Amino acid sequence: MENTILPAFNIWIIVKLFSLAILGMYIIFAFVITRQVKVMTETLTLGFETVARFLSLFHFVLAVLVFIIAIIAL
Amino acid sequence: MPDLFIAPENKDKKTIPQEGTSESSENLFSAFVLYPHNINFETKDKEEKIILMLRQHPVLNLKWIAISIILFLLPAFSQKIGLFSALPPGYYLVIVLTWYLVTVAYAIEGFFGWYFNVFFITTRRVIDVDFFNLIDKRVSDAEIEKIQDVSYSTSGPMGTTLNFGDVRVQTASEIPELNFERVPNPERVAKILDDLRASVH
Repeated sequence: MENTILPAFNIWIIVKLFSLAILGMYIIFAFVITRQVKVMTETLTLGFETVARFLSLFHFVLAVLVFIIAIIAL
Repeated sequence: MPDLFIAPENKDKKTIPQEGTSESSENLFSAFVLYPHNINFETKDKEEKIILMLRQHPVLNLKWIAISIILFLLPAFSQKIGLFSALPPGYYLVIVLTWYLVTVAYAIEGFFGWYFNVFFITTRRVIDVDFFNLIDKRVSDAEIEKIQDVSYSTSGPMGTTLNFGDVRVQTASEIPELNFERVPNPERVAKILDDLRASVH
């Protein structure tokens, strides 16, 4: 019997939208981390500030890249 | 005339080390640093001097390092057993990339959680700086003169072997207790705090 309520191609669209929504929220989380690392490095000067900021920025850029790849690949 | 009573020598020597002693190594990842240089915190006064900086014992990093390595290896393993073979190729790519993203976040959180959770003993105060889960921050401090009691404990085979444990500082300030958890040389830390208290009172 033909499934008229939820055709098969719609499932993948829903999965794609759901994945993009989660990755979008993850970008916000990654951005919050960069802010928090900034607060950390302002609160404490321990000699590792530059690397810490680079790591948090690297994570944020990675999150954006994965989001872009998801738009293209899904 | 023989002496009837000779007062014993005061063997209870002070344990507050003098600046310039080479009792602890000071590198970027030290967990026990006496009179650290180039280290500062936001609320430090100009005349305030850091006597001791503490972190949790470095061996505690092994847990997040081991878990991170396993997490990094899991996508390769899942490909071998064909876990996501039913998915379209694009989905597999995104799942693997997301997995690595979360793994990087976990590793960063593990490292920062250790590196930025520090305890300071200064000439005026005891300060506990905590960062939780990368998004929460808490700074607690207590004046040395408000410290009421200092106790320490070491427990477990690792703590006993590697000499790390907890130091509990009870205070009369707003925060009734400060806990220095799993720090190296807890006995030494407690003695330094006791001597600081004695020198203030």
